[in-house]
Amino acid sequence: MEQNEYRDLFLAEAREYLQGLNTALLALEHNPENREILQEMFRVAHSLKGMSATMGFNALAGLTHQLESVLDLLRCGSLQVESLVANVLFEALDLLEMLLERLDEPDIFNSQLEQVVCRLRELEDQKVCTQSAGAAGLRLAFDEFEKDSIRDALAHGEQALLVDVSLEQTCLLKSVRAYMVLRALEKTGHLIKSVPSVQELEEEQFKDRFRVVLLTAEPESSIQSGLGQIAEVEAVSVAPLPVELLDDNRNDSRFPEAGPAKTVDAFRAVSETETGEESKKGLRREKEKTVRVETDKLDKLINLVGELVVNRTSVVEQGKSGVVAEMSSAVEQLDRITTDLQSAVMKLRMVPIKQVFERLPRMVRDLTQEKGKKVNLEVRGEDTELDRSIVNQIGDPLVHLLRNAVDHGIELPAERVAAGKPESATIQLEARHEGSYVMIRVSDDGRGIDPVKVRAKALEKGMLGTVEAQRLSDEDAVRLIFDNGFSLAEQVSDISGRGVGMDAVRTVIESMNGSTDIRTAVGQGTQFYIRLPLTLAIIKALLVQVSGEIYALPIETIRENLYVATAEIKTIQKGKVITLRNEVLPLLYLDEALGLPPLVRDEVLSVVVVETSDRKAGLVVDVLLGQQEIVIKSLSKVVEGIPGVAGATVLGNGKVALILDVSSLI
Amino acid sequence: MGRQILITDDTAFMRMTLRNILEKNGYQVVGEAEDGQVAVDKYRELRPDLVTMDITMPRMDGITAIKKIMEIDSQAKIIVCSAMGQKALVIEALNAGARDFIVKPFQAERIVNALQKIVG
Repeated sequence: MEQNEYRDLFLAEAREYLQGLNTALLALEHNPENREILQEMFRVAHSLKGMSATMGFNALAGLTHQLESVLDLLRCGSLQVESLVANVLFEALDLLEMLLERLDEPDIFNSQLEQVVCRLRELEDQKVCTQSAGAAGLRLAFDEFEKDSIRDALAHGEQALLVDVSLEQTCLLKSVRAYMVLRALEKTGHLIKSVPSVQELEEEQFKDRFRVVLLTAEPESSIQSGLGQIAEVEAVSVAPLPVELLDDNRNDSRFPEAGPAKTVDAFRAVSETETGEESKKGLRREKEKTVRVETDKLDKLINLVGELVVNRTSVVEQGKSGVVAEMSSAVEQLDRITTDLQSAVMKLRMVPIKQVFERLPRMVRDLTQEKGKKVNLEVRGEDTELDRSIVNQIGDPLVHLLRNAVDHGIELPAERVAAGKPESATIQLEARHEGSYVMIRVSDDGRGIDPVKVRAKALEKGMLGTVEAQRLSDEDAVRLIFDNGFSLAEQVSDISGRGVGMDAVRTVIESMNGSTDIRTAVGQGTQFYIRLPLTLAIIKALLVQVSGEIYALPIETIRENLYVATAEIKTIQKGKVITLRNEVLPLLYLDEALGLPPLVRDEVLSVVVVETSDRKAGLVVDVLLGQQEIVIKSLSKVVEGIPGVAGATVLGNGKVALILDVSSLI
Repeated sequence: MGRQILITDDTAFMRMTLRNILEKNGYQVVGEAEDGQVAVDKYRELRPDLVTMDITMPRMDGITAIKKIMEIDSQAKIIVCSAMGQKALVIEALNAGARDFIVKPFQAERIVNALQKIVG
């Protein structure tokens, strides 16, 4: 079979299944008695095995098979979910993930594979009762009761037939095949005997042949052709039972009595006990109705719609000028539809943050185990949707925050008890919508961050002077941990409880036009807040004109707009500043900063006050043009990385405007 | 025209595999269902000559779906697709009215063989 055409689909689905197994296993650890979870895991492992085998990924299939066997034991209750078992299962899942990532070179994992399979086997061996090979011969022997039944039937005009059935050697689930044969025969008469016994057939302890004695009124030929309808039956021979068999035959203890009534019932009993559980399974897995589309295609669509929107604006403008009267209503319609189309397409970019959140519980679990702490992770708002590119980038910062929380924020169980807190700590991870933003909160009930210690450390590192440190409010002092210099200080963790690499977190978030904040109380815990825009593709911007060129400033960075009389401007150390509400605000002339020819300035200047997380400045522009939603286009490689420029957009009139990167300007 | 088949399986991958095998062998796949409920609805709508039915699926499992389809049409022809180790379920499915079963991983000739015996 041509596999390449399926490969992407296989990979995507397999990854989804693995993630599902991971999540379920975590849930199971908390709730070992929950058979529904086990049932679900079993089902997923099962699907994964089938898929892998079909694709010919034998290492994957083999490992999943072992995994499934262990899950089966857990499901039947013959093995208990303990942390040892869970660890082995997690190991297996990790290996599966690695195998998936490098499908074409499974050999490099051979030794690991051997190890994991071996461990899974050990688990299995703890419980499995060895199945006897059951090499049953096909010799017929009847007990007295059976002989009586046969004689009785013959006396009533029925015949006793010996039916020999052989199944194809490649037949799978032979026992079920055999069951189909027996069931078909039961419809025509009475089965009084089978060799191997029904039980052995049912347990699949036969090669591929079995024989049955049937008491029936129907002719041999119709029975023969009836069985021919069953797939994977290689050959059927039907012949009258040789009468000699009824004579002189000693009871053979190898064949326990298998009365006719038992034939079907034995099967049925099994099917009922096992399936009672199975039929309830899997109904809970929510399945979204989705179509998989390559992200490239999606991006292209979004880009095209972006351009359409831009074009619409110019068409609408011309339509309004009323050259042709009928056009205005058509233009209005066009306007409405494009707006709808745009918002529908933008939604395509949105994915639930679940994709990131799902991976975190596992990490927290491993870390808490390693650190000997007890943590309860509560996750909320997984369905909150965010732009795909944001979701892709938010993972690392979150991992960082959670690691810090477990590593430094949460106290050891004994310490917690001594402080009068519950032994098990709680870490909450929550996402929710706030207007056109998404707020992500990571909070713990650990020891909190002590502003006094942060101040001391900052002083020691020479980040601020004594006076400054004293003047700093507690809240601001704690925010210092986001600062570059602070994070670089190694071993901050033991004095403050936090601080490793926090500037990296802030940098990533700010690169997405987001912001971070922190609230903490000593002894009570810490909350980190991450605020992110819903989408990166479209932003609200203020358009300004500088030396005849139009620039866009992201609205998030803007605090206010001012008109400033030149008389108010003072010079401090060669820099121009103004005083705004008792605060000194440095001014930046955008024409100079961007290397444009300066214009003759009026008495009154237009100033846009912008703020990033640590700096504030006033940008002097020529004209404020107004606020507008703009579609961000990334710059080509050639002009990438120009300081002060974050990207470009196409305006309604078809002109290109550069989007300014405020944080690198000031 | 080829016999009309409705495919039921919760994994898109398996549905694709099955569709490919069937279409290469001259069958016409008229519909795909990702769970039992969809299969029942589509059976009612499409009345295919034959249904392939996965057993373990979310929402509604294959066995329930077989029973529902048999209620709609007692002559419905259903083939169960099972995996190794689902013996008891396969038997239950057969008792519920399935005509035959095939075992994953799928092998083309086995599937075609089973289908031929039932719908020709």
